[in-house]
Amino acid sequence: MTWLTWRQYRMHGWLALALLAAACAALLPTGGRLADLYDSSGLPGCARTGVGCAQAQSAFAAAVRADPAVTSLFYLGVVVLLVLPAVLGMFAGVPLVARELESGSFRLTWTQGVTRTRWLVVRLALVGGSVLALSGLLTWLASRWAAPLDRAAALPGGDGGSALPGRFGPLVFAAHGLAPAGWALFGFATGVAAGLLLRRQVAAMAVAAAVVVAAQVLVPLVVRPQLAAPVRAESAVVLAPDRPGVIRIEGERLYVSTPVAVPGAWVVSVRTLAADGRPFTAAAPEACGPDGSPRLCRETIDAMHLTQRVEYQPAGRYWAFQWTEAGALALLSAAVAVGCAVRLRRGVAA
Amino acid sequence: MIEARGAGRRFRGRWALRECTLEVPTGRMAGLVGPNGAGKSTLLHLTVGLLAASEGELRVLGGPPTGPQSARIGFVGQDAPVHRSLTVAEHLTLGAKLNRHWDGAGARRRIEELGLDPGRRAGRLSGGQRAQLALTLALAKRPELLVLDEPVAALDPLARREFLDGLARARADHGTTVLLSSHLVSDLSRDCDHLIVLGRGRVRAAGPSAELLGGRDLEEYVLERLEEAR
Repeated sequence: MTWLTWRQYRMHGWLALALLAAACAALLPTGGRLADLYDSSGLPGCARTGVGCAQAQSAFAAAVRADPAVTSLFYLGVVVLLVLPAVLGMFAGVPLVARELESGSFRLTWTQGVTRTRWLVVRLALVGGSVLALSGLLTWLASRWAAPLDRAAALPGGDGGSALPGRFGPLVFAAHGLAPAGWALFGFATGVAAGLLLRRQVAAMAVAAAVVVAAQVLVPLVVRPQLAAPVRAESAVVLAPDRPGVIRIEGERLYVSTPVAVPGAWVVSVRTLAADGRPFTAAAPEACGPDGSPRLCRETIDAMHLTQRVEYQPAGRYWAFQWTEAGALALLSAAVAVGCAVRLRRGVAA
Repeated sequence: MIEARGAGRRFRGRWALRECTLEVPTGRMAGLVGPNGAGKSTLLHLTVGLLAASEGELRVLGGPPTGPQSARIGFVGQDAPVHRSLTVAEHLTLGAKLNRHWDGAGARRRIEELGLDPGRRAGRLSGGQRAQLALTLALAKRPELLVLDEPVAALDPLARREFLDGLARARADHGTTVLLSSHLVSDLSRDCDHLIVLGRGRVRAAGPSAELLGGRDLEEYVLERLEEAR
């Protein structure tokens, strides 16, 4: 069984090793650079003493922005890891059963001395284990490479506009840490099931990719925010020349917000409330129009006694969220695999 | 050897085979005839354990045709399925790896006698060569029962005769019980001493050929049974 699985998947194996080698070649030499930028920005001092953080943060952000190689590698890594589950589903999961069904060779393979349940279990274990190893190693490389960014994001003094998105944000969350391994398994299991049910590889690839992408969109939008009730923080909106704040006028409407600084957190929502606690909506006052002045405008807005309500998942929940998401996806994948085995026992149409 | 009691199989609510009851004794060469879509492949797949029955039961060699029993059954599926990207030699490795009882020397000898290049990919073999490779793999299991699904349907007359000769020789050497299907009565008339007629998912006749025919022509007899079924 091991021999046959390797014989049929050896091309995939070499491609996976090539991908790993490419990731090592890209990330290992540049990993030191990000750490150097971190060290020279003054952030280590901020971490030790808590002094000079704002300055160090902006120095670090500027240095990262000035290094295009670092920025592009960061995003490249995120994109590769986000695309990986669908790709693994299409090219490792779908052929696992569907290739035999489509070519008719299941009539040869399943009438040898190995039951088809054992045939499936061995293949799922070998290919699924490789999927887990590949996604785990790639994610470990990318997460370790980006660690200085995460350390910086967890320190105070950032103005919310740091150089690169933090690890708790909806996009990077599924590309660093543990979650990508869970997503890779989910993609793989989806591919296997689609291949078994549809029996046509091309159709199964399309369906598997669609299901994985739909799940990748729905989970951060609908499921992940529900994992724990977000922490709610309210602060009065007070504008002053030395405090950053945003006054935006779109058409007739006025929007006011102040920067949110919750180091390392996933900010789920930011809302501005009026004095009576209801969502703030108002027409732009005259003081903010062409006849007013910035000072008058600020004073008018301060007099409205607005509150800004921020809902966020604090940084300390990051690993709990990662474990939950990865674990849930792994369990779901296992359930799909068991369903495939049960379905296969009954046999497929002649 | 094969005992079916009310065996049937349903796919998505549609019955491909119903209430199939028949018996094939050891040592026979049984022919399964019927038009396309009569349920021949479904019956054969039930016999080799590729399918589980939805109703009734089907026993082969004294037990259900799954698990350890399957090592004693050889099968050549429709169109002689092989792994197109694997070479002839790799197919022999596959058989050796997946079967506890495997006559590797016999398989290699047979490949040599057939003049097949061991390094050739199975996808590039002719239909006749592919059928012979599939038969070689099935015979190397040293099966007590050999099941073949339309083995010669796609072969030219010469390849057809070579294939049936090979089958007859294997049967003479090892006394294997054989069950083979065809939609062409002429393919069966040669050696079959047992007959099963399937029509529209049901058994229309089953028994020793001599008893069933009583001196009549095989083709005429089969057509009569199928006419009745309409």
